[in-house]
Amino acid sequence: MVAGKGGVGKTTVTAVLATAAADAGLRVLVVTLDGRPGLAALFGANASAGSTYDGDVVASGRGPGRRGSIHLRALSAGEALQDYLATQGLARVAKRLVNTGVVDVVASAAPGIDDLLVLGKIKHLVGLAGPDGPHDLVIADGPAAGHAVSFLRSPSAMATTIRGGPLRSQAIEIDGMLRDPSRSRVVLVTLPETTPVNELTETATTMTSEVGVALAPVVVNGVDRAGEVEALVAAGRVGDDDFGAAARFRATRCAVHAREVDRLTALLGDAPIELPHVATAGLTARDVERLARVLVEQVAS
Amino acid sequence: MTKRRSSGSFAALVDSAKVVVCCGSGGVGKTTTAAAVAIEAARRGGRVCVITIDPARRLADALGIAGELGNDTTRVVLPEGEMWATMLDARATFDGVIRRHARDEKQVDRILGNQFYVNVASRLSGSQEYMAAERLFELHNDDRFDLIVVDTPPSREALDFLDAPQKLMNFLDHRVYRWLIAPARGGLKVLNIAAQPILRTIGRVIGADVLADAIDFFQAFEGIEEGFRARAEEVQTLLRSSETRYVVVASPRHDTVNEAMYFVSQLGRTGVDTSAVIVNRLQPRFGKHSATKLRGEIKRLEAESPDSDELVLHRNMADLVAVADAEDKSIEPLLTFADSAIVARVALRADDVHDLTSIGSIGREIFGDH
Repeated sequence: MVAGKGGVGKTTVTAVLATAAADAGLRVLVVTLDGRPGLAALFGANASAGSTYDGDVVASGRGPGRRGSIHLRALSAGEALQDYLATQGLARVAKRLVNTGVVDVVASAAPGIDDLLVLGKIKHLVGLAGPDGPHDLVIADGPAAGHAVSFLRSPSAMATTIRGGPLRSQAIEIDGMLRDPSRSRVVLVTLPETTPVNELTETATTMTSEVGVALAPVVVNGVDRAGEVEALVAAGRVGDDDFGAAARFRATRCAVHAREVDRLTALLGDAPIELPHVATAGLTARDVERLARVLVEQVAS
Repeated sequence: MTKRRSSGSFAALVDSAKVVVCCGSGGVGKTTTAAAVAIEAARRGGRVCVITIDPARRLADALGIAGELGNDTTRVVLPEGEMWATMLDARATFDGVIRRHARDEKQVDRILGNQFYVNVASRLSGSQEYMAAERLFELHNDDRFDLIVVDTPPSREALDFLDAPQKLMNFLDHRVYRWLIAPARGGLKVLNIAAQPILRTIGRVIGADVLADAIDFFQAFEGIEEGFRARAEEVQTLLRSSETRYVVVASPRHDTVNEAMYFVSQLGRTGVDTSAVIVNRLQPRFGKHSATKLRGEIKRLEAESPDSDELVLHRNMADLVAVADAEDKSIEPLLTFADSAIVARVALRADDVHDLTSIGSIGREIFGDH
């Protein structure tokens, strides 16, 4: 499960992780929860084709034998609820209930039920994973900005509020999966800037102590390191011209990034994984490939 | 560079507005932008109040609203100008709405103490948006302020905010509501729940006590709808009035540009114009250096003086120009799409933006005063 505030590059990291895993020979199922388009494009697939979000293979791994693959699937709360109602013998009215907003009433009566049902679907997909299943690994591109904590907390919250019934036992099972580090890990993503680092540290504490999930190493996205430029600026070997101004701008930004990565390392007690800044306004599948190699090198070392 | 538009300046837009709504997807710097617009509008002589939604701790600190609960407005101390800030407390705002429309104290207590109400006030999708609009309406009618700048909850849908009053009315006026309150009239509550297979199933799934809370809430809410509806209509009118201007905030990346275009089109579909587009965090240019020319220079330097400072500096410039060029290309469709909107560009800062001075400098840039 990849989580992080809006704008930190959660989707990029999802794509990079999936690519790295596929290159290593795994069959990866990427689940997207916020319905954002564009994820398929990061794997070099055609983003406009809606059919790429129903579990089809969108890319294959580039590792030995190209055994690995990436499948993409979108999940929504409405769909999860409709499916659930169907299992409760309400298939015929399920659609109408969703469309007429009865669902809003139910979701307000029992907040978190929509999150729980989406997690229920993820758990089902995780249950299928294995050598004999359709995929080996499930990577979920977490819910929209800032909701990751309440999203992951929904099973334990529901287990407390609902006194019995099928939903309660499902909530307990999902909570068990989330708390089992051999089955699930949360990858937190941030940027090398003060506010995102502060927010990540708070989220990390909440995730481990209150939600009870295990964290994978934190990923810091877009870290700019330009040692040569910084050295020139530090030595005073830049002039007052455009090139000097550009170098000072870059050096200041690199210094902020280095400072924030160090601070994060100190706060977490562990070095995060760094993905380098890419000089572009939008990543391509090739950039994702390159970042995946960087990720693998860092995990290996 | 796009050509200058005839539709006027951002300053003129704000001068003629009573309300400025900042919309856009999450992570584009919307909250900071709203604060920056408010600071600059105050510096220019307005009495301005900014409504922020879930600001990062340091921004809340800078505005002096960290840890504030309830619906207080806090005076922000600026070198120049009169400004206030408030953090949206959706629950407190909702409580206020209930108090305003309830018959008596007893009804207030019955609603505010109901767990279903607590969930509706804090978790129902659209509640936060409606409360932001409600709060906006309250402050708009407050004589202390000439201008209200409002940040909107992070959302992919601009309509979540514009349609929030209507959506909440629909929710409270729903058919389910009738099913639920109907039994009380005949005193056949239990029988009626049992007679409704859907309610029975819902009760089995979420628990009978939870369902009972919902029923109790809808019963308690009876009689409030009228006042509630009238208010929602007034709020809706303000959101669509010509004194309310919509500003779409974006960052210069392909994905956020696409989302910004989606916002603009959604606003347009409901007959609301996007008055301005603010593009945040643009890579600044240092002089006018073309990527092609830099590439040539770098090639020459690599051959002639591979260890020179010159080469490092040229490569650095080429990196920054590549980003600036890619960003210009990336935002072009947005500027074409929102062709009647004023465009404000904000340069990326090398360092963090976190105090009133740096946020104020962003405000001046948005208003076109460098």
